[in-house]
Amino acid sequence: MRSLELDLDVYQGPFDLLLSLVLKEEIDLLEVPLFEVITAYLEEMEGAGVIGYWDEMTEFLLLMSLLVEVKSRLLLPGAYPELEGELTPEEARDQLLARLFEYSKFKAAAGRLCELAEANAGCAFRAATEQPRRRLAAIEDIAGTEDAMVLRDYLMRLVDSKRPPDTSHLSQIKVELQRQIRIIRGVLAKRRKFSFNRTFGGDPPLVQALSVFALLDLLSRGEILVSQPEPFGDILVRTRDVQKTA
Amino acid sequence: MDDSTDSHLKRDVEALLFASGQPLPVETMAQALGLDDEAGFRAIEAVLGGLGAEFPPGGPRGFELVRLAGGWVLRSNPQCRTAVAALFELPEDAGRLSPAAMECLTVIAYLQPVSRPQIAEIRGVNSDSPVRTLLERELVTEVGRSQSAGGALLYGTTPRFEAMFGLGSIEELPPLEDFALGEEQKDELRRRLGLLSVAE
Repeated sequence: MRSLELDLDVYQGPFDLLLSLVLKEEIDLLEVPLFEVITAYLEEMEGAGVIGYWDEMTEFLLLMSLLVEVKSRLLLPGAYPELEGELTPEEARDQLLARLFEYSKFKAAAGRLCELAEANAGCAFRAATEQPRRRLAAIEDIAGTEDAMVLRDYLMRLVDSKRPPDTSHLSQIKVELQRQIRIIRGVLAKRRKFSFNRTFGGDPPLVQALSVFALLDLLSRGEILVSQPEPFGDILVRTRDVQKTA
Repeated sequence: MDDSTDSHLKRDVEALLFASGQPLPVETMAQALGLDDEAGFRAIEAVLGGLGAEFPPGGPRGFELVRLAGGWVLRSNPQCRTAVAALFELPEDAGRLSPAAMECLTVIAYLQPVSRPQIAEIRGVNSDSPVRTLLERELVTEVGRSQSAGGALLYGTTPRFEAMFGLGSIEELPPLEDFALGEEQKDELRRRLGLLSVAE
């Protein structure tokens, strides 16, 4: 981690040394103002323009949170009663060491993998075709076959594979706002009121959406009145004349 | 098998390797060549051995035959990197992975299938972000869910990982115990933590 010089009442020097002294209990953690350490660290990082070096900042955060936890336990004696099965300090240290030893294996192995990757970097592979060629039939199905119908089936698949794709399902929907407005006016002229779901419910979503826009347009012009008794429910549309007479 | 059959088989195997853009397992070649039995496997492996000697990794030829990700594949000689890179984009290398992502990848490679909490347990820090990076780079993939621990997603490495690190299969990873700290290094670590007297 980046070298951090501290200037605290209780200690003056590098952060690493402070950590070591605290671990050896040569400096009482209760005396160390952790807030000032954090502030100094952030100022140092900002001054060096390296805010955003997350690995390093995470390491610092982890260390500080451990110190904060230990300090809070010291400050509140008895607040953390010994739980059954809780580790003794010696057991906790051994466990921590065991974890560090385990972690160090993976760290070293990661270094070795980097070397392997370096040795294998810079190789280009064949890219024979953009897509694997389509296999129309398993070799065992056609090798030596005398059944003309089998061969015919595979030939048909070959012919099919060369056919242009069917795009009929992509037919363009011709719809425009003015047309929907005309339709709504037509329906109202005949029936004076209608249910949106019954009239447009069977249309494609795009037509339904444009019909709603058409309703909003007619509403803003003051030609119609709409009501929707339930959220997301059916919309009842009527002309203003019907409302007036009612 | 006579000489003529041998040379035909060699020609066919060469053609398959040339036409394939990815590692070809011996079984796949045997099936394609109608030699799907024990004798056929041995014949193809013998041909591959001969081709391997003709186009050895790091040899004098412009391309080399290597066993990668469970199959055999032709690739350009890494020593020709400069020439190839002048015309073509080379596959990305591991140098672009952050140290955190490399550590996560190593943990997944050795312990697969493994969950994110298990990776975090070993590294001592949350590892969600590096694992996401590895997923995006297609070096690891989801391989199932844990039966315990709330059904956490389990991760494993992909053939792309083996190709990037030049591994024929995941079994070719160097043994993890080779990287265990020696007693001196362990003592040094204890000393650095000020725990030597306690731990001993």
